Amino acid sequence: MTTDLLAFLPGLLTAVGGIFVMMLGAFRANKQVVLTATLGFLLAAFGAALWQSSLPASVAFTEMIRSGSFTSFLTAIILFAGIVTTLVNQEVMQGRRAHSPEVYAMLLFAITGMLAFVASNHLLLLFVGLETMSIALYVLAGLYKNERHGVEAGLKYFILGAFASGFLLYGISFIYGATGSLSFEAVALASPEVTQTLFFRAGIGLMLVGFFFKVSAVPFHMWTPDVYQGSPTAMAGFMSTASKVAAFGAFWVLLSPVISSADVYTSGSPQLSALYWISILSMVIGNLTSIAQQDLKRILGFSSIGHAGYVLIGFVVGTPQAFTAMLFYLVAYTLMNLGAFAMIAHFERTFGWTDTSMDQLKGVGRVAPRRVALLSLFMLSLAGFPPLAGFFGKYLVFSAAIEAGFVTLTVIAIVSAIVGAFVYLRVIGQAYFEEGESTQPKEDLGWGLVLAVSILAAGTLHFGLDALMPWPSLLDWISTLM
Amino acid sequence: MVPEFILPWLLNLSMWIPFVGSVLLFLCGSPKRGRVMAIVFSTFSLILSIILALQFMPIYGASVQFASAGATLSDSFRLGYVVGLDGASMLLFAMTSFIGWIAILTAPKVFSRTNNAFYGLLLILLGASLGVFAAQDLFLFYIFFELALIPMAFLIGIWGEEDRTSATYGFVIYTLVGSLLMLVGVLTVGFTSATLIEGVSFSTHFDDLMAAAPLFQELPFWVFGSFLFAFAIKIPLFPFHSWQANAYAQAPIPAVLFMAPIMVKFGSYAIVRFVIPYFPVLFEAVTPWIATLSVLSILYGAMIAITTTDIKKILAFSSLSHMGFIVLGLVAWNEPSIQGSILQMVNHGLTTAALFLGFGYIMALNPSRNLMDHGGVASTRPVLTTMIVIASMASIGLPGLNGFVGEFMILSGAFNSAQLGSTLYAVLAAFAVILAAMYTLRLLKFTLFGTPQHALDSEVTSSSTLPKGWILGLFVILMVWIGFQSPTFTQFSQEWTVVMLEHVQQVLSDSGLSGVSPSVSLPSN
Repeated sequence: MTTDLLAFLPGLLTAVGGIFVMMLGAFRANKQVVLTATLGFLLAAFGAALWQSSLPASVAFTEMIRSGSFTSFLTAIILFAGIVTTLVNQEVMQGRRAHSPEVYAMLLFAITGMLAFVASNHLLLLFVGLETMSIALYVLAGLYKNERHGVEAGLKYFILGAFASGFLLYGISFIYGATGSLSFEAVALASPEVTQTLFFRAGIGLMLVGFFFKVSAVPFHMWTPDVYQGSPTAMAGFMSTASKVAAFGAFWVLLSPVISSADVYTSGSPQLSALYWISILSMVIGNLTSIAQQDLKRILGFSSIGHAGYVLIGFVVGTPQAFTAMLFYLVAYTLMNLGAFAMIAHFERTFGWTDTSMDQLKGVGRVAPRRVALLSLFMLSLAGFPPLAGFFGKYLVFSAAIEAGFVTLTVIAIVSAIVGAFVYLRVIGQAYFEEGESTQPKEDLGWGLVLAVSILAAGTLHFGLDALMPWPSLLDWISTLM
Repeated sequence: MVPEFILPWLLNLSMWIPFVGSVLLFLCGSPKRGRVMAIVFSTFSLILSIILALQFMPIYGASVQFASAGATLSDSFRLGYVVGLDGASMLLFAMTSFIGWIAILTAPKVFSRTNNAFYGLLLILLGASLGVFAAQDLFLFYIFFELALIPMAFLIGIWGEEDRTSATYGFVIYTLVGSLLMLVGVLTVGFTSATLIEGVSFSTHFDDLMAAAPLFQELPFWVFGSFLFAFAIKIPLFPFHSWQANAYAQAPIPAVLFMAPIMVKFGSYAIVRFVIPYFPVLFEAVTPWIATLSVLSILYGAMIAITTTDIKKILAFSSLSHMGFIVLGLVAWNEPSIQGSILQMVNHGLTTAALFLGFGYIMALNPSRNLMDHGGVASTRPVLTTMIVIASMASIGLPGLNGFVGEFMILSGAFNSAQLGSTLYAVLAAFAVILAAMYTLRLLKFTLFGTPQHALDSEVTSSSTLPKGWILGLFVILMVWIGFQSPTFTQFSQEWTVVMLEHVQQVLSDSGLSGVSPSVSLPSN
């Protein structure tokens, strides 16, 4: 029993933390106490994840939960995103509803769901984890319940997300019908007679729908820009990174044996070609549509669709190199996207923006050049300029694809990256190149934001030069996770 | 002299000092100290690269000198930090640090809105440009090549003139299209070259790539095309030049001093440094096309320059025309023409920088880019006028100055080139020298001579704060020195060119396509 509990220690810590923080709210605890408790539990869970990463892989709770270096890695990224989001949120949301204790409790519950999601070894736990995460995120998306965009975000995310969960559950039931089991092993080891059945294929297909919804891949992407626009900015950053990391990680474990097994390749798997086309569509539509956007958060929403497309290349290629590339890309994406959202959240507060339209940025580069420089760093990394993390991530993905012979896919990816680069550059251009009557910023960066953003910026710079560093690189570590 | 083992460190230092300086500048608050710091850092870098140039041994120019290697990605993934200089890059490296130093030194004279961020970006640009020429790994080259784009985008976008935003987007997107597609090419050659090496799955070290050149001839055409396309945009070659005039016109002069003399050389340097040696068979196949495009660049650039009234655009189109000469020398592909091209890259850097700086001074006095708003500078500013006239003569190709040597070598190489197969290219290109005289003299006539157009000009002339143009004397010294003592400079690339052509010959004969000999050389030069 103790080993079972230890195997899911980070998730337990965040779950207990969530309940504790909620109780603090009920007893009207002071904001600082709430914040300290949230950060304390998240850091403890982060430490537990690091500790777990050195342990051998094992299963627990009647083989429902996996632990091991890969799970710990994903857990650590999610917890990192949670810590950064907490730091940013307490800073930019002071005095607003999005700073109440319940918000931090919800954040912790969402993280608990994600951790269960990535640790699941059983389709039902996968579903439970996903739902725990989603329900908490629906609440976080709709925090601005008195504003039109806020209500739209919460409701849209909830209704569409509920549908996607339905698809996923339906798929799970098909898989159960085909294989007679709900454990991941049973799916992975299903005999060719089983995997060729319509039942099984339909089950995988329906589950993919749920997955594509969560990572906002085209054509299941329409909710993304609306939800990001209406959510509190720090929470949008969290949704766009942590929940995607969780979904990509969990589905990699579940689906990669199914879609990349040799017989499927030779027989021209429909799932694989679906992934291929969805990857292309996500990159092209995500980047192209972002050109027409006028709102910063919508731009980042569409760009996150495009980035999902790049990560999906890893699924399509399916080689060990692609796996490494995908994980590295997720790390880079988490760093730079969180950074971009954090800076926008800060500008929103310090300049008293009523919305996040791009016109607001005009002239900001003149009054706050260093802060815009930070935003530019993250934007350039998202655009994939060397020597930043986003470039190295793209490089790894493209190189894995070229090595496996996917030249067309790579060229499409690169062309869409150029389109995307224009959009990010336009954001920088608005801030620096255009004249505007932006007022002096009301406040400086507080300690929490400074800490969070400097970690993100340092990471964005460092991982871009990851390969050239004299000490062991992240890439070496990732390649041991397979 | 300098101990041998220090030299690689000096190379690394001269590249990285500008980056260190830029970080300090961004952190430093005081604008006055910022400028001094920028000058100190770039001077340091310049001194180091002069030492390197003096220590460089031209007889071993074919091999990489001052080489040092840092970490590579992993044992099987050989890409990483390898730097050094060889006969093709040494002079360009030294030229870059010289012009970069001049750009930083003169920035406040030609441009009034400088601040620490401005100098910081200039220093990043300097470091990245030095890195491009020092990189001995294709991937590292690519990183520096792209990195140079970022500070330039900010320099144009923030400190540029009225139409800066569209100029920035045009410049960045155009360059990015080429270079990102090149990334696919880089990856492909990296995987291909590694098939020759045991236990390695990817390598972009120049040595490994050179050894694998025979394999590259089997690759699909688009791999070669992706490199060519990227560099044709960077050079730029007609019809990929449309970003150029606007970018030059909108950028502040210190940034133009990087863009026109240095950054366009990335493309021509890359072609001679690795496109020709890696893909000789394919390059031979497209020779007539590139030669045609370069002649079109020469003529088109010259003719537009004759009709334009915007000073910076005249200089931009003249640059297009002169870069066409350099590319023609590369496709003519024999010893004198390639050597001429490498020398002409340096010459063009010096003359363009001198002209942009000289006219930058004039436009700082009288802020208009229109030719017709100027005039009579000669009567009030004799030193500046003399310097500009000398630089213009070098640009036209007057014997005794550097431009003549380079253009003569290129044209004589092109005239005798077995590769081009026709003297028509050289004849047309030589005709453009007349056009060059036309637009340059027209530029001089309307700006320097005639009656003073600007009343202010005569009033402020006596003021000692305004530049007199003595700094251009440094350029003039170099122009005359190269003009009279060209062997001192051509010796750098001599050995390198011979070895490169031998290698090319080898690859061509291995692939059974040695129809013509590319190393037909002139008896003397």
